[in-house]
Amino acid sequence: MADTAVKKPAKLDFKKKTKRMDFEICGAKATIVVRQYWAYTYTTKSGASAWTSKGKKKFHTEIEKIIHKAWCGKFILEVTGTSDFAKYVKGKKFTVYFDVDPKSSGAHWAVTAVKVPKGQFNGSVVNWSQQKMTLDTEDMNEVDKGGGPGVKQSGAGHEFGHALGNSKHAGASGHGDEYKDTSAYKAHKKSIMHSGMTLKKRHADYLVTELNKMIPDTTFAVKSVK
Amino acid sequence: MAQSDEGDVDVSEQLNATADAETFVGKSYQEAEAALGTPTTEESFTMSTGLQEFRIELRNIFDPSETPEIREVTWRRSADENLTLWFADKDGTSTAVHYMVWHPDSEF
Repeated sequence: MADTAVKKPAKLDFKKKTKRMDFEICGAKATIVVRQYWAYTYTTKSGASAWTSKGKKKFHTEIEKIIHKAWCGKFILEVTGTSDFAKYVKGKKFTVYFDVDPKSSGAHWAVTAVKVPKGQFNGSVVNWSQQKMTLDTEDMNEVDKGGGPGVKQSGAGHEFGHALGNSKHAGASGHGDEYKDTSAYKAHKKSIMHSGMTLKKRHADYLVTELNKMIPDTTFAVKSVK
Repeated sequence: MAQSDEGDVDVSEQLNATADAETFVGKSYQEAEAALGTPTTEESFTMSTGLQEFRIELRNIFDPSETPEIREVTWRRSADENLTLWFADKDGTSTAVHYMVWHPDSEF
């Protein structure tokens, strides 16, 4: 709850555009929206039927559904600092939401959508440096990635994590695949950046770093993960 | 690269770029090494259904009941391209059963 003794700041909403995603902070609603625009190209693997307009729309809808389920509303942030904004929203819990929209030009990411025969596998990949990713029509399914009994993962949820800055190429706050021998989190098999679908506070590191550049004397931090 | 209004891409150029990589499928490790030189990295693992994304296409090749030893060998072919070949014992001979061409910055 906001401290009513503190004067309402002149500005409660802040927006920032970056190369790989845009940020919107709404102080009144205590929400943060992270939005990415994706420019799709479509390819078909041998044995799969051709893409249709309906199939392309369905693909995006299903990918976004997985992303929302895995990431939306999970990170709860708190704010500290000496700015009027920070003082006004002190004690509020900010919820982080994610949105992905198709866009033919000026998009953050070039996404290759691969149609594969049902039940087949295609290696999905993200290239942070080049702002490219490849996803396929089986990436909505949760599959065994070697995380142990009952631990499964959807490719769409994991790859989106890379596109949110869980990448070894994303600067000081970046960290990538956690199943690698070089990862400090190799034991966290249920983690979404390992073999499962569980979010950890560290998976918002890049987002928090970017948010902390938006309002002077204002610091966001992950309080909890739902 | 040709692209339609709906975003469909003619992948023939991509296929040409990886065509030589595809020719290594069915070749022995010695044949690959003779053509590609000393590998950059090499690793072995037992095939299973629980594979990470980088190796997941191997599930298209082996049935869930098959658990061969896989030799995963990668060559850095240029600043923009790695080639990984997976070798397995099929019909008594170890040959490349699959390949992947990938950018060194890729994360799977």
